[in-house]
Amino acid sequence: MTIRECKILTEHLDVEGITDIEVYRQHGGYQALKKVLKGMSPDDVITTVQESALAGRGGAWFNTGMKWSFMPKEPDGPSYLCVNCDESEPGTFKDRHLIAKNPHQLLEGVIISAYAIRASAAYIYVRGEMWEEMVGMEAAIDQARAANLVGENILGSGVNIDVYTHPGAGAYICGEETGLMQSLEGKRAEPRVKPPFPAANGIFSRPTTVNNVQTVCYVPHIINSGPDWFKSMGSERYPGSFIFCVSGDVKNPGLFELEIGCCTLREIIDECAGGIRGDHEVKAVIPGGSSTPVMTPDELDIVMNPELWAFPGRGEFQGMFGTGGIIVMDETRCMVDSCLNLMTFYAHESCGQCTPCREGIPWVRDIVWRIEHGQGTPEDLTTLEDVCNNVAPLLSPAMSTICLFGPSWSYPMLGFMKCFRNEFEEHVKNRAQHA
Amino acid sequence: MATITLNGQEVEVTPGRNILQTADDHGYHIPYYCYHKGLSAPANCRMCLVEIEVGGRRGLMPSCTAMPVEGMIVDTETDAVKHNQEAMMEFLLINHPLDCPVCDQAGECDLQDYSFSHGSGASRFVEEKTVQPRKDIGKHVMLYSDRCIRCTRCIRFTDEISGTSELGYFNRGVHNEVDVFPGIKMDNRLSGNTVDICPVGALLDKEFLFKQRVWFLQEAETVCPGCSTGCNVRADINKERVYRLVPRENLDVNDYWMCDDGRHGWHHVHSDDRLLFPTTGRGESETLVLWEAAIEETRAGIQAIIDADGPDAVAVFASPHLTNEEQYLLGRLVTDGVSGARVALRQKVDAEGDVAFKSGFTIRADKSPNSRGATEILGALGLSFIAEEKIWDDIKGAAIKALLFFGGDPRDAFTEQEKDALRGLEFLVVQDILTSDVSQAADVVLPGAAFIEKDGTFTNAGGRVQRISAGLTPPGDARPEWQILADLGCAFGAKCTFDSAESVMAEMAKDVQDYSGVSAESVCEVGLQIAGADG
Repeated sequence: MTIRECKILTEHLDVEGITDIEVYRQHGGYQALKKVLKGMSPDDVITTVQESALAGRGGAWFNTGMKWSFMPKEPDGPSYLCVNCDESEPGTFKDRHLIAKNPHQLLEGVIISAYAIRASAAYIYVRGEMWEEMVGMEAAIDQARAANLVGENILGSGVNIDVYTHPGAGAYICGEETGLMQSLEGKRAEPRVKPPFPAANGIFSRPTTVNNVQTVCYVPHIINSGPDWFKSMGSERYPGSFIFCVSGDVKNPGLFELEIGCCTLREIIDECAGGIRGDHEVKAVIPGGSSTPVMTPDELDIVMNPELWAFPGRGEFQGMFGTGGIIVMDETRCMVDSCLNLMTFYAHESCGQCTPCREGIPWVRDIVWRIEHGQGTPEDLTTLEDVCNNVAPLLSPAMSTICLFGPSWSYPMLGFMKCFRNEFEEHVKNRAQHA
Repeated sequence: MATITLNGQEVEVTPGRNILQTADDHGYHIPYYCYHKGLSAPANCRMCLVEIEVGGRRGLMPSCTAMPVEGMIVDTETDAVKHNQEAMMEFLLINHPLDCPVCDQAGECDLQDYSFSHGSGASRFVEEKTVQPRKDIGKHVMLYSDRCIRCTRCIRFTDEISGTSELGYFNRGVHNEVDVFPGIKMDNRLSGNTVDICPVGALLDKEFLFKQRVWFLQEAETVCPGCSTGCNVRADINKERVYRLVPRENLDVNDYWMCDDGRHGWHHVHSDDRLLFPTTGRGESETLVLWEAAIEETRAGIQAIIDADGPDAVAVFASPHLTNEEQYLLGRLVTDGVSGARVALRQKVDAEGDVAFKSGFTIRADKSPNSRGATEILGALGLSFIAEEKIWDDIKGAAIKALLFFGGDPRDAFTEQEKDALRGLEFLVVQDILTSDVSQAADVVLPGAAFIEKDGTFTNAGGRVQRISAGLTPPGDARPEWQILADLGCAFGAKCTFDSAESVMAEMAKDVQDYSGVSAESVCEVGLQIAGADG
């Protein structure tokens, strides 16, 4: 296969001064917004996006236009758009780049999206650690407000949309859409039980849509160039491009915007990211952020098209596509140690609201810690699997927790056990060497 | 009305009831911790998950938040459901101290009960437990955080029912804990309810702490005498001693709650100041007598005043602490025996007024349980109340020479003027349960029964007739007031022979029109509404 770079969102990222509204305009900025306000109804925008088959890039890959269509057409009060820029999934760093380098691209998408779902206000929920990026975003909003692109009566169209930023409260779970809404309301970021779904009862008990930054950034391009242009790229169900974030033991880590389905995971690692560092060999790859089950070298020839993956497309390949956060590990890495690193992260981030997650993840972390430190027993391996299966069996839609945080640690844990069980067994067998 | 398939059977669903309640209606108990009928449902314990199939999609869902829809298939006893219940029990117990032998909740603990019915006997947990501290969080409540399963019922109670929000959720993950906000104590007047709704032994009542193992307690269903709300309560009793009052569910009166004043308002029952035997004579000459002698002394004393000064010189203080049956007998005593005597109702109303909470639960200013019954029944018998001050004035002015005082209020207190006035009386009969300034000045003392020592009914402020029942026998030679009043009635020549409060009730139903529907059957567990709510 040939890798096709496909610069839609990243095209202007390196243009000098693109964070300034004038430079952004010189590169075609805010044309889509004008087009929408001049001649498109909110439903036209929804239809266009639906026709483009744009899918949510936050990891769930749900059809964006369809999600928008759940919003009330004649709201009896305010509706809201919420942009998820909490990006806390380890291994993922695309959204940060998008808002840091080209905030107006996101802002234009935000205004159009808010218009489409008839939202009176949009909140860009920015991870607390990305303070500088948030300040940059605010500067962009101020410029746009001065240019009458945000606020009341936008460009004389009679449309009122306000845009706010909101700093995250420093927890992984703030990125879960209902946890994010709780946090935005000033509460503990404890995910809500669904139903009711956000489109019926979201922020401040009003209809709300939560979209990922990357998803929203595509919107102006789809408006400008049309759904057919978008569908000419990528796969049928998942057209367009995707930004992969490659990190770990590679020569050239970084962001790569590629056409969906144009290459395999191995090609991304070897060609885009320059291959494995030094004389080392690849040992394990996490394909889409730390919540996705780890893969072994023999699985890397899978094409990076979500359709082929069990999650999200229920394809044949038993893996999870995720957020594009590819973490590469070479043969020097101990899998038990790597697993412990992740489980420690998840134990720290569990909100503690529901029983299986609150009690389960610290237990799992403690067991993995003992195994890593030469205190494991053969029974521990069974217990680990049981505990994880009691939360969410590997790649099964069944889960006992309120939100997807449970599967977010049970999948990778079970993934490590499945792919590298021999290493866990070796740790248990040769305890003295690891003590 | 929707029809669902519940465990293979088609069943009709009562609107407004969730899957958990619907299953319960059809005899399937689904275990749960965080859910409570009176509170919002966060579905965080994950214990009540059942298999639900809608539109071809099947999965485990919390039955506390799922509402039945037409055609829904619900299975509450499949392997997947049981497996989840066992898994949740394991999760809940790994950090629990398992200190049941020293825990007050043992015996009425959902963790124990469901562990037995749904858990596994062994633990696989070999890590160090996360141990949380014990905290003194309020005047009445202790929090043993180490036993807490984070169901958040208590937090939701202070948010949704009391509206005081003293409790919050702190820290995160396995370290999260319930606590009061800094500088605040949970001292709201409904705080004791958090102890009742705590499914485990985390929140405990300081007063009950280490006092009794709950399996020794016998239950008596009664009504709180603390105010005219008339909360339905259960008295827990062992060896002729009350250990606690807890609320009983009654959606027309108190929902699931009671106030702390009422909860701790039973101590007078076991007070050293209880009146135990009938006495005659004042001061030094006070003598313990048999009931017959005391009744006869009362009759003779009152009759002497009537003969000398007319019935107008006799006053009767009726009590809003007497039951409806007793009000009826008192009325009969006055109309048939001392006709023409003046009657007043000694009532205590708090200056702070009614105290209403967020949920609507109200602590009434009227601190007696049966003002409404007293007014309605005595009124129906043709008696009207004279203002209390007028009686005191007339006692002072010697227009009233004999007083028949019915007490029953454990918190009653007398002003100096009232005490002064008493000394001027020629003949004073006191019927009460506790020694007081009045009983000490009395010529005849007739010891009565506390609310938990007699049967009968009270009518609350909303016009609901509710039953109280005897869980204890009165101490010493004290007797229920209906018995005393029946004897007094007979002594004054009225036809007043009754062998139980229930037989008085039957007679009352014949005489008092508003109460004509009142019977042991009609006043069932939840009471009988005889007038419009809050009428």
